[in-house]
Amino acid sequence: MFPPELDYVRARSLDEAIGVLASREDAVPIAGGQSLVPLLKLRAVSPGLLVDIRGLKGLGGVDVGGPIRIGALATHGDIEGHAELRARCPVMAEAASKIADVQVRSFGTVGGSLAHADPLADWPPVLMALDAEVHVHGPSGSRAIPMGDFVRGPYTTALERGELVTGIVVRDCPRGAAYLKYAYRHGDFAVVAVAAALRADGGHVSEARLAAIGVADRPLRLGQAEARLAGVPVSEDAFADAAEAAARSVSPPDDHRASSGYRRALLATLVKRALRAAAGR
Amino acid sequence: MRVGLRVNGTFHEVDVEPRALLVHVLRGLGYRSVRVGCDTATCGACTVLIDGRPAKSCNLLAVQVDGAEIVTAEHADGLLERLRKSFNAHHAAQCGYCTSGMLMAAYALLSRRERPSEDEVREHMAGVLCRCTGYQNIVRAVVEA
Ligand SMILES: Cc1cc2nc3c(=O)[nH]c(=O)nc-3n(C[C@H](O)[C@H](O)[C@H](O)COP(=O)(O)OP(=O)(O)OC[C@H]3O[C@@H](n4cnc5c(N)ncnc54)[C@H](O)[C@@H]3O)c2cc1C
Ligand code: FES
Ligand code: FES
Repeated sequence: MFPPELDYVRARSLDEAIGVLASREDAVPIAGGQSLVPLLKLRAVSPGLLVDIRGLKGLGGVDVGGPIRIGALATHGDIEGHAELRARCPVMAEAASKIADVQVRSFGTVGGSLAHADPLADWPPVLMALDAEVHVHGPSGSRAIPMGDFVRGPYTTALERGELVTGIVVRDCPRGAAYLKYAYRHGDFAVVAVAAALRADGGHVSEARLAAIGVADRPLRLGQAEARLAGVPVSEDAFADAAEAAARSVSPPDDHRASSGYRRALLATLVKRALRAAAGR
Repeated sequence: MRVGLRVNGTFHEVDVEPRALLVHVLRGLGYRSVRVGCDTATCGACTVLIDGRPAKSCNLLAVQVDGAEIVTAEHADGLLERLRKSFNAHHAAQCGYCTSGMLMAAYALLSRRERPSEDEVREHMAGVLCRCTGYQNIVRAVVEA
């Protein structure tokens, strides 16, 4: 399989990249290429021009000084291997290590993953449970989009024409957070996965955030399950109750990978286990 | 487009179409250890090291890695020699199609960690598939290299 004929330019600055992307209808950015190259080979997309942003300075890196800032060009491997980030926000390293395999993680970026918005991508549920912000920059300047508002549907995001993801910011990463992914084979996309972030005060839940993939056509925040947890004692009963509420709140798709009922049952099990894991940290 | 690649220490400057995949460019330069297996970023037979990190060369455009330092299974150094001997001693290949990918994944791991555990080896090598050996001997070869 060969990509279609196309032109290629290496952007020298963020503004140059945005200028080209905004002015040419057939231009698309390329970061790690780990989602885009397969699409090119399948001829699912045929852009006239690729604007390579991988060399842009200032768009990579991980900074845990104040709020956690992760550049759009940070690879899954960079995130997995960052010792200070692992200490400060272990769930991010945990999630990164569950994406694909080491080769894909060497090049695939967090910004590319968010912009691609595969309904089964692993970053969105994790970043939703962490209440992260997605920072973007475009022809009309910069803005921050709450992760919960960023994915608008399958392969569809809040990005406007010419806008690039520049990074993500996590202001608050509870130690009690976990990401549980169920896939048929090691490194596959999830069938169902659940991210949980939990805080307790005097044995009672003070904050609970849950998000899942594989139970709708996009990542979902599990609001009804979260509501069940508000203020209750941290206990197996509470987790079971939240799991049941989560399962009742979704209508999962029925497809060749898993039936709707199976996805619902998986969701309940993973919610319970994710909460248990989060509470144990 | 002109692209410069340093492969196993030798510098090559080549004219490529922007759409050319790295795996095809490397094979065209004579690095035939780099194999196309699945052509869909799944099997890892095309794995090479790019600036020290393992990557699937069927899933990258050559223009993306202009200026990079690439290592393929043809490379000659102490570590690769040790791995080749260990693969041989442990019967870690049958048809051999996956072997260069396996060697490169193992090389990437051992250049970072002297003595990885069996679990680390399995986790790190999960991105290269073998349809013959059942993996046991490959894992042993890497653990004992
Ligand atoms: C074999 C295989 C298995 C995989 N398994 C998983 C998995 O289990 N879980 C998972 O989550 N992912 C998985 N992936 C996808 C992987 O995580 C990709 O790295 C990621 O989806 C895209 O990142 P990228 O940097 O490679 O983006 P690219 O492929 O370069 O780009 C993807 C899309 O995003 C756009 N884009 C890229 N960067 C930006 C930016 N900064 N701003 C705006 N738009 C941008 C591009 O135009 C393109 O449309 C897998 C991929 C492969 C090949
Ligand atoms: S040929 Fe590249 S991963 Fe299979
Ligand atoms: S030896 Fe045949 S595929 Fe691995």
